[in-house]
Amino acid sequence: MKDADQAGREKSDVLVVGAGAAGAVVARNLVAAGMSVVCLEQGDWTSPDEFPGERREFDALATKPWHPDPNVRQGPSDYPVEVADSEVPPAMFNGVGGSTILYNGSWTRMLPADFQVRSIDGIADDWPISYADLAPYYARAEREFSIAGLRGDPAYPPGPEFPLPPLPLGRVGRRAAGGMNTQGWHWWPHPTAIASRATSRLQECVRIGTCMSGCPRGAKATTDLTHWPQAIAMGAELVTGARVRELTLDHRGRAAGAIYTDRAGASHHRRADRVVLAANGIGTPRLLLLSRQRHHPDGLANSSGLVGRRLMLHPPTSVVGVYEDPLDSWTGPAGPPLLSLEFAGSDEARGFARGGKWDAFPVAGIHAHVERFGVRRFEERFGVGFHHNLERVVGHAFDWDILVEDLPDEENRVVLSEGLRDGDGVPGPGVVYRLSEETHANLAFQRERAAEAHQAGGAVETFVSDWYPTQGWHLLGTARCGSDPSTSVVDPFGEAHDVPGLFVVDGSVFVTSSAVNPTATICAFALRACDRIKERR
Amino acid sequence: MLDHCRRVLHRPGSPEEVLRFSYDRDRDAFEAFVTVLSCTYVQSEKVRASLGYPGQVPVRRDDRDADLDVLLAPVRERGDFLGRTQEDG
Repeated sequence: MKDADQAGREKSDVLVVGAGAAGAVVARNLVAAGMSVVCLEQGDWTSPDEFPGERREFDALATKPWHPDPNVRQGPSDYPVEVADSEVPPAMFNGVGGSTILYNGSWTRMLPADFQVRSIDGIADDWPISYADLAPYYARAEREFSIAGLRGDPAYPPGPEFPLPPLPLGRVGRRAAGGMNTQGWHWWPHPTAIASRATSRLQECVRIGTCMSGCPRGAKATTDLTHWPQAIAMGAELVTGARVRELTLDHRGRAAGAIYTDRAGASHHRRADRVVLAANGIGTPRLLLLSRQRHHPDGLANSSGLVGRRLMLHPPTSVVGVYEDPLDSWTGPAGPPLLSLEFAGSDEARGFARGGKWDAFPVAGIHAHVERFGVRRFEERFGVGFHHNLERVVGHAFDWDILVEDLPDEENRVVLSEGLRDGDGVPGPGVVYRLSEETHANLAFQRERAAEAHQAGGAVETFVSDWYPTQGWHLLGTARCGSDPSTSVVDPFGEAHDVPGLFVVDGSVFVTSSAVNPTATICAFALRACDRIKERR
Repeated sequence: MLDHCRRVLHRPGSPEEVLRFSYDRDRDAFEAFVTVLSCTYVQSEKVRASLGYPGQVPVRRDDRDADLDVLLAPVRERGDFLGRTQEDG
């Protein structure tokens, strides 16, 4: 502890911005190492009994107050995101736990080749770190989040046992696996941050199936359950309702703290020796751009000009398969029971670089099926046709949901919106995002293969759903890491090249996006940054 | 969403005419209206029973996938298909 600020509060060793996955990992690990930690979080705590999963009105509540798009949700903790120039609106949740509150718990390590895109494919860039560098941190993160999974996936190098056994495949998973085996294609039980058995912090999953609107039973590893209670018990201070609007430096140009506005509109300055940004791939560049000052006229840590640029959103697509036999496809977890990485790597013959990851996904509720009818003719969406469709699909259909690796493009970016402001009058972020021809080709290829997988599994009908593309769940690349300050924002440990003591540990640091869900990599990177901070304190 | 629904409700014509017009010419309004209608409709016990849908309810873990090794045998037999590098381990 050092000196005190104007309100008499002591300067902390570390100030974390954002209480989601990365922020919680950092806070708990640094406070456990004896450092004083303060975290500023714009949102509030949630409680499992708030989530709509088991309520009759689940379908309605999932479309608004628990929707992943902040512009739809418009909660008191949300800031507006300008999306007029984006083909994919971003998803996020603002609160203790961050987007883990609404994620599906998919917990996938990046593939070794994902760190070497330039070397292997001759495009984009290599990461400044390798799979081997992150492997021990992946294992630590898997323990911290009590990941359920099965060791031995041949897509990966050998690794340790998962802390918990895999979740059941269920009828959906078994049907999906059958189709993949017919095709001779890769699949594996999905490593998932959903407890297959009770732990000291999590309840056992009872397969309610509404993971993506918050787990009503506390079985999903969200950091409000897995990290914050312990971090607070060890002395971390978590300030909720604290909307950071500017980062501050000391006279030497080192990170010195942050100015935030509380719910009553009062302004505060919390000071620290180090500031760790964990505000997601949109919130973090927004803050850096808002924090421009005399020696940083284009935004903090932005001498490379790359703050906010190279945004990657993992454009998703979905192919629905309808089956004659009952699949009970409302049954969770959702959390996908299985994944496929068959088409995750590059193959020159396909005419595009990189690939996609597939998840076999159950469908919670009835209205979600109706949303998938968006592609259908009017006659199928009204009257007899509508009822006929519902009878065929409810309980009988599941999705192959697909994420494709979009490559970094400096024109895809986060900027400060000229028109939108948050509740405190601070400019909101604007997102400029266009899918490349390559990405469209990748999406089309993956859809065709997924339809084949459904057919091989016995589907009587397949169709592409336009439901999923409304959400960009993964906010990546907007403060990339690298060894060269002219082509990257932070170093391989997440510390800003331009601002000593300022770290970024969220998805912003991604160099390329891989095709897999990023939470495991975000947490592994954050743990590695923690070790760096501890070594140098 | 409310504005969208109002647009549908205030349009003259039979239900089918109004919905068809919205579907063809005012798709955002159509989708908003369908969302409200559908989310209300699917709360009906009768509708749920007719679809065999029990709601999102807890399910006892009745399948521990005892045959998981059998299902995964072809995947394991095929082994590495992505061509890992030496460095990766």
